Amino acid sequence: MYESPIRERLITGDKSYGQISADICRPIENPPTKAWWAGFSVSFIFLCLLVLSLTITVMEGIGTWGVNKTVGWAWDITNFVFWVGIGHAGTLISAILLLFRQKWRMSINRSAEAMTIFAVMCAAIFPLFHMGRIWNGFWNLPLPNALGSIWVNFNSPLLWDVFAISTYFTVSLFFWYMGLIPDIATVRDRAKTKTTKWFYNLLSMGWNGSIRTWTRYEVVCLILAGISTPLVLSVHTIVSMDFATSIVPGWHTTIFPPYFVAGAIFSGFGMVLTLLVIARKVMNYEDYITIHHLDAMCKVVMLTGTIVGTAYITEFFIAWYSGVEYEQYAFINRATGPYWWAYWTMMSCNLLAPQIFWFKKIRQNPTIIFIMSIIVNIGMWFERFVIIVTSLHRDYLPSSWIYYRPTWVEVAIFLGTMGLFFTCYFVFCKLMPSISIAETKAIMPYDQLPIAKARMEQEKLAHSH
Amino acid sequence: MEHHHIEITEERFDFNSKTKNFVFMLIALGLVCTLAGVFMLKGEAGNIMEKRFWGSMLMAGYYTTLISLCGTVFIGINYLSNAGWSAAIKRVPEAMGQYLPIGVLTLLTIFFVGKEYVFEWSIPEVMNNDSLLQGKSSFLNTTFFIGGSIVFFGLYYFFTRYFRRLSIKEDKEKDVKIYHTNRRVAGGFMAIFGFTFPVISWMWMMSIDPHWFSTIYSIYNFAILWVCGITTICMFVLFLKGRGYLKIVTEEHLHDLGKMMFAFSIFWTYIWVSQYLLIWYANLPEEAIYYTERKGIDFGFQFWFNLIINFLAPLLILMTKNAKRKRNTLITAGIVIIGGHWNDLYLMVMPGVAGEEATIGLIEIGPTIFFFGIFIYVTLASLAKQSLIAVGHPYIKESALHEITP
Repeated sequence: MYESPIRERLITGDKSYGQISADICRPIENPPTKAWWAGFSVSFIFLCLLVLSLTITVMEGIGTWGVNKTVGWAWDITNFVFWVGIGHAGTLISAILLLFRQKWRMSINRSAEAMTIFAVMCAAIFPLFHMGRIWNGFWNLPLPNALGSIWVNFNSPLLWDVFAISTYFTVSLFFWYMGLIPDIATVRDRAKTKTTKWFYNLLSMGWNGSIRTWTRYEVVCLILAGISTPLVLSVHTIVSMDFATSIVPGWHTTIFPPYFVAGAIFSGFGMVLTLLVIARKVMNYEDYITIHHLDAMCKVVMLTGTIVGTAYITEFFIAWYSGVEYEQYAFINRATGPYWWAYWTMMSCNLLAPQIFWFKKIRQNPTIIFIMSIIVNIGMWFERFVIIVTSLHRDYLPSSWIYYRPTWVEVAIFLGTMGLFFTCYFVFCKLMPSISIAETKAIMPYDQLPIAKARMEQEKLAHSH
Repeated sequence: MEHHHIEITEERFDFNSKTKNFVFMLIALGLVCTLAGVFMLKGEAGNIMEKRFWGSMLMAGYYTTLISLCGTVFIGINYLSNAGWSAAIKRVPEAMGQYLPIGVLTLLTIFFVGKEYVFEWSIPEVMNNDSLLQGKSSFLNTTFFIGGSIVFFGLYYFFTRYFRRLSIKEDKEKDVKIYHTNRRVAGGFMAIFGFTFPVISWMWMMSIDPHWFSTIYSIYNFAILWVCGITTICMFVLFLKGRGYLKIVTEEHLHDLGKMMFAFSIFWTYIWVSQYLLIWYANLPEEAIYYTERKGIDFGFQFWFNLIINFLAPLLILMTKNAKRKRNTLITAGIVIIGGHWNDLYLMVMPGVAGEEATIGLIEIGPTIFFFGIFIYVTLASLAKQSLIAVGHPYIKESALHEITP
């Protein structure tokens, strides 16, 4: 396919096919670096903290958390929505950007999809453990049981969420693994020792690179991409309905579905940037995840941040316009009540801060991008906190108004999920190619292709004669 | 270096008298239908004629203005997203935007003359006896309405002209700097559009039912703008191709347009469901009344038909790859989508304006034909003013060689 010369190159450094495989496989084939060990150890300590705090929660009960009769949902659901949101960049990149033929997605989709899977794992912890009796967790599923009339409530968006999230997790996992198979085979073929060969051979499912395997691979990928496209929208739409179907002022508002989806993509890209700005440096992937990749991601962050900001303003305006005093109070209370600091953190991190990405210089400065990505993560965490806690803490009965504070156990669980997420990510980086080798080769700039080089040689010869 | 050859030449659209006469006939037909409708209903009790007349005028005026505005939004988004495939058809959306000033002028005329029949809040007695409406009076007032519309639409028109002027200049000078200027300006336009279009949808559509409110409403309006605008672009492209123009536009471009018609019909449905489901589920009286009116005996059929024609029909017609690459299926889908969203807008406007007296007659159909006629005239006239192919666009070759990889 012809490409305009003014387009940015997606792979720099005049690579050959062989170099691409070698570059991407290097972190897998070499022994782990010091940086890897350091990151992995810290993450692992936090993972232990997760085990500890969850054990305490199960042994002692939900009383170890700060929730109470006014604020029945707080830290747990905030983190659940936070993590589910983080996962959205993966599906957006693999499904929607695929449909929009955004080729720059090729070198970031693998890690973003991996992130999706780890983030959904982190998210699933919260609804399961907030039930208190984790051993009854399977009650979430519509399984016939011996407990008489206990049956899931199909009218409840919380049940829809069970289906949405589990479908999302399954499809993302398959999609991610499907994409990995040819690359695992590459790693297998390059392996030097018997054990690694055996290990990657097992995982590559007998991939032999024949036309037949490629054809089937492409059909399956296309089908999975088709299934994931509605999932980008459906998952966070249903998460938003956990709140919006209620009649709680501040929760019941029709803009929630698209606004949650935009917010999820925003936070997801925030996290992708946090990881990739570091990874491209540490793993020497700067020729594949170029500054223009970061530039494009910053644009997505700015766009989705601004959409989310428009939604904040819309909510505020319509609350005033509606003339419903409870609705008006909910929003005034958010901005000026006891949690004003959370509200203004959210506003400045999500709406104002990303506006600096209007400037190209900033979009191409990894240090600022990294700081911004952290700000986005913070802002989106606070968005969920604001929506959940400020809408609940002052209910219709002023005698039950309360100021919610998390306990150390709750904080530890959240930090612990961070540990789980990063541990998984470090293990993934070490074991699997974190850039798609096959897909990256497919977007090689034309003049770097062997055939183009051969042609150039020919032309040179023809001229010299 | 690369071995791709294609000839990209300027093309001139000849807006000949035969085409002109056809469009004039369309405008005349609309006018006749409207006048016939007015005479048939004249003098009926309860201002039925006035309500139906001004309601359908607003519908038609708003519909054509949205489609016209979509032209500029399409240009803006394509600049920002660095899109290459659309360079070959970009003159069509550019021309569509040229109708904007006429669209706004008609909307403002409708407001000046017929506001009391359409916007009940504009009647002082109603406003003064309704404490809820008084709470909104700093937004729902004539000054803001007119001032806001002029400023917002004025800005949109400014950008429309700017993009087009530079794009034509680019054809002559072939300077990539011009492209980059337009890209930067597109950022400004999209930001302004994003923050002001919701206000326009609240003013012109949501305030017809002044007690009702819904935060997703502006996105719903945007979904209509986007899907109908892209459909209209596709129809103009098919028309020009049918006349032998746009030689570099192939099935591949039609496929892309077809995909967008398909995808954004589903997007519209997503927004529709989000609004309906949440209001139905919570069932708060002040919100649910909107759907109670629409699901009742007067509009019930149209209400459910709306989902069939705007969701199910495009979904089935455009599902396969071949359907998106064929002229006839695209035209069928185009008629369905444009007609379907007429029904959609009818349900947004008429229950609030005419209530149980609303039906579909000549007086409803006439203004739409009339305004669409003018819109088509303005678009074709401005297409005829310069080359149909943006030969200086840096992505024009990419667009001409555009191929969708399977």
